[in-house]
Amino acid sequence: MNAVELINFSAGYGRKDVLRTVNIGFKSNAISAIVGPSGCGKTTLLRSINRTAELERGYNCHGDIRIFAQSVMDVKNVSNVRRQVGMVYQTPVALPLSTKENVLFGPRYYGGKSNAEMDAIVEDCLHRVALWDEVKDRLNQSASQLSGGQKQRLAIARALAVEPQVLLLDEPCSSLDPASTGLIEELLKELAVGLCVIIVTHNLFQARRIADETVFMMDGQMIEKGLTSKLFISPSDEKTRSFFSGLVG
Amino acid sequence: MNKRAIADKLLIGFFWVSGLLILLVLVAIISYLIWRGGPFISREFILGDPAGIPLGSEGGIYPAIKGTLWLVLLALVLSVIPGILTAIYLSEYGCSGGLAEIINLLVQSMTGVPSIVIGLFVYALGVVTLGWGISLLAGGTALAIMVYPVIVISSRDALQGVDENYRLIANSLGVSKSYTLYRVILPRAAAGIIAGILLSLGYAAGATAPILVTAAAVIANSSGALFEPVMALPYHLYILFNEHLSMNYAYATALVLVILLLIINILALWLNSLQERINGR
Repeated sequence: MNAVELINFSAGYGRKDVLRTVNIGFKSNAISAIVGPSGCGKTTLLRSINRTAELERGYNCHGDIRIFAQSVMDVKNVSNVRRQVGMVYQTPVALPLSTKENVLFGPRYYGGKSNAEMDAIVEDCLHRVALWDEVKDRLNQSASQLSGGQKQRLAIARALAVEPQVLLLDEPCSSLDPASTGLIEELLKELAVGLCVIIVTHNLFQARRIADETVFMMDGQMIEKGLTSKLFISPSDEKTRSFFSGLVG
Repeated sequence: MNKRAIADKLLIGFFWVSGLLILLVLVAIISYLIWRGGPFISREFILGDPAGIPLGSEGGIYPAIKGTLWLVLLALVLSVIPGILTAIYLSEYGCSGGLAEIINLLVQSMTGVPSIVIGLFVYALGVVTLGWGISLLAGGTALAIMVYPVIVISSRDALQGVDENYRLIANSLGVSKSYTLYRVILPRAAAGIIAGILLSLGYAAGATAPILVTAAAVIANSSGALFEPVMALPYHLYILFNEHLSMNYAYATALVLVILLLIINILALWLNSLQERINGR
C-alpha cells in the first residue's frame, strides 16, 4: 500500500494552474525524490500533501490526496494532517528558542506528556538526526548559535518530535556545504526505515544517491516515475531523458 | 571628476547639510530653553504647587507633572490592549481578508484626524452627553483615541517584521496560531511593540489640543480622581505664556516637558535598535 497517494490531483493559485491531474503514489519505508525544472510544481505538491499550501492566497485544488488510504482533503482539523505529515524547508531556520525547546515546540502544544517523557523525546529525536553529541551540553542555549547544517538537522528533529508518518523535505540541502549535505543524506536513509520520506531536490546526484524511487515532473505534470536505478539509466520518456542529460533545465 | 561623481558629491553634501540643520534646530531649541528656563528650575519648582498672584507666577508645577503622568497612564491603559489586539488581527489573522484592508484604511485615516477634532468629539460625547465633565477620564479617553492608531501601526509593523519562516515552521507542525503567537512571534516583536508604545506615550504627553476642552484646568491638584479636572504640562505652559503670567516659568515648564519627552524618545529609539538587532539575528 502506498503511504501517500495523489489521485487526479490538480492545484493552482488564482487562475494559474500549477499541478495538472497528477496521479502518484509514494511508498512507506522508502525515500522518494521529486525532480524537475524550477516552477514545475514540486513545492506546491509537497505543501498540498500536508495542507499548508492552502494558507497561500488564492490557492485552490481538486482531486484527492490519501495518506494510508485516508483522504486528507475533507479533514476538518488540519492540525491532524500536519502533525501526521512533517515538513522541512529549504532555509535552515531555528525557532528563537533553546535547542531543547525547538524540538519540543510541537510536543508541548499537543501535551499529555510528563517532563521525563519530554526529555526522552528531545534525546531520542536529536539522536536520530545525529545531533545529540554535538548539543547535549548546551540544550538550553539558544539554537540560533548552531551552524546551518546543525539547524537543518534540528529542523528534522523538530518535525520528528510529533511522530509523523510522512516526512516531506523541500530542497533541504540547497544551502548547505557538502559535508553537512552528506550527513543529512545518511540520516535520511536511516529515517526511511519506518517513514515515508519524500524529498524535492534540484540536485540529480542527490536523488541518485539516496532515493529508492524518483519522480520526474514538468509543467505541473508527472512525466515519469520509477526506481531511481532504472530511471536514471534508461528513462522511457523523451522529456525525462533530455532533463537528465542536461538538455533541459 | 566626471559629472556623475560631482552630482554624487553634491547630493551627499546636501544630505549632510539637511541632517545638520535638523540637529541645529534641536540644539537651538534646547539651548534656548536651558538659557531662559534653566535658572528657574529648582526643587521647589518641580515639587511645589503653583503660587503667587496671579496664580502660577510663583511656586511650582508639581500638579501639572502629576496630571500629565495621570493622563498618559490612563491613555495607555485605554489604548495599549485594544491597539495590540488590532495589530495582532491585522498581522496574523486577517492578512488576506477584506475586513483587514478596511481596518488598515480606517487606522491609517485615524492618524490624519486633527487632535483638536478628537478633543471636540470626546467633549461632545464624554464631557457633555455622558456627563463626565471636564475630567481626567475625558482627557485620557481623548489621548487614547489619538494614540491608538500609532500603537496599532507600530505594533503591526513590529509583528510583520518577525521572520516569516517561524510561521511556516509552526504551521507545518499543525500548532495553532495563538500558540505560535504566544511562544514565538510576540516575544520576538516585544521590543518593537514597546518602543511604539513609548513613542505614543511621548506623543500623548506633549499633546495640548485634545486635553484643552476635555481635561485641563488652570489649577487642580491632579489627584488621579477620574471625574476631576487635572493640570497638565503643555496646558500649563500655554496658560503661563498666553496669559503672560510668567515667561520665566513658561520656559522652565517647557524645559521640563522637553526633557521628559527626550527621555521617553531616547528609550523608544534604544528599544527600536534592540528590535532591529533581534530581527537581524
